[in-house]
Amino acid sequence: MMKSNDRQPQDCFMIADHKFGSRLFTGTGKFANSELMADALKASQSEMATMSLKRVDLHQKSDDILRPLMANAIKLLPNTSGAKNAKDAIFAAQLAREALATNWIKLEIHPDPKYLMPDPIETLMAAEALVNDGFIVLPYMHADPVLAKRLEDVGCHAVMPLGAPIGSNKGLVSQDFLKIIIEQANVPVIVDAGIGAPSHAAYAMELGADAVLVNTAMAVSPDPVAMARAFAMAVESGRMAYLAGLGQVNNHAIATSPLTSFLDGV
Amino acid sequence: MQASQKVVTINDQEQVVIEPGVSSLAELVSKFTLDNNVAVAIDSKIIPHRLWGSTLLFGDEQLTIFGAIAGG
Repeated sequence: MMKSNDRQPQDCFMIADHKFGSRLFTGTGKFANSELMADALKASQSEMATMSLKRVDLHQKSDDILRPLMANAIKLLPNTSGAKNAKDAIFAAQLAREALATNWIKLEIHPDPKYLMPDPIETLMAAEALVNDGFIVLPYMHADPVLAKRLEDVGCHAVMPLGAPIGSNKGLVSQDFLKIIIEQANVPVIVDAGIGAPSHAAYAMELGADAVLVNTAMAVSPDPVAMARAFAMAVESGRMAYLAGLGQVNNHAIATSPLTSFLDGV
Repeated sequence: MQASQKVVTINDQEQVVIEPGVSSLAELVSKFTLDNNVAVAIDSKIIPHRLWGSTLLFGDEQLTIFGAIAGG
C-alpha cells in the first residue's frame, strides 16, 4: 500500500522535520580508514551516517571521523551500541547529545554479543523515555510488527527492523515480517542490518521500505567506493520499481503470447 | 605524588593533580583533547558543555571523556 509521503516531488521523504533526498543511510564502522570511509559515503550519496561513542583513549590518537562527515554535510546519527539495557542506552544517548549537539539517536540495545539481537523490552522502555526527553528516536529492532506499532505509539519517528543479524550479509531473512511492518507503519521504515548485497537493498525498496541502512557490505568490500555506488543505484532502482508497481506473483504460468491453436492441422 | 595532593582520575588511565576549588573542568579537559565533540561525565553524571568553565574540581573525582568513533 502506498503511504502518503510516497510521491513527493523528487521523491524525498521526511523523518521528523528533516527531509532526505537519498534513501540510503550508511554506517561508518569497519572501513580500513576514515579517508576510505569518507570517499565511500560520498559515492553512496548518503545524507545520514551512524557512529558510536566510546571512552577516549588518552594514549592513542584515533581517526577523526567527524571531520569528513561534517565536510560533506552528512547528518550525524549516533547510536547507543554497547548498551545492554535501557539505562545504558539512555545514558549513551545523553552523552551523544552532549558530544555531537544532536537529539537524533539510533537506539540499539543488544545484550547478547554473539547474535546482537535487539532486546525488545528494554528497547521499548528506553524509546519511551528518550522520546519524552526530546530525542528523535530511531530504534533498531526485530522485524516484529507488534513491536513496531508499540514503538510508533510511544513516539518513535521511524523504526529500523533488521533484515538479518548485524554484519551477517544474509539479506532479508525476515522479509515476511518486514512486509507487515511496512504495510502497517505510519512512520518511515528503514531496513537495517543483514543487507549484504545491492540486490538485498533493492529488494527492501521494492517491498516499500522508506530507506535502508548499510555498513558492513560496503566497508568490507575490496572496493568500498564502487560498492557504495552500486548500493546507491540499487536503492534508487528498487524505489523506482516500487513506485512503478510490481506485477502480481502467481503460482501458475500466465502466457505473454497468444495461445491460439494456429498451427493445428498444419 | 604527595599524600596531601588532590587528584582526579581520567578514563581510568591518568591521574592529574589539581588545585582543589580552583581547577575547572574546562581547564582539565583541554589538557587531554582539543576536540569539542566530546562529552564528559564526573562520577557518572554528564556535565553539559556550558557548565565546564564553572565546574570546579576538588579531588577524588572520576572523570570520563567520551568521543565519537566509527560505528554502524
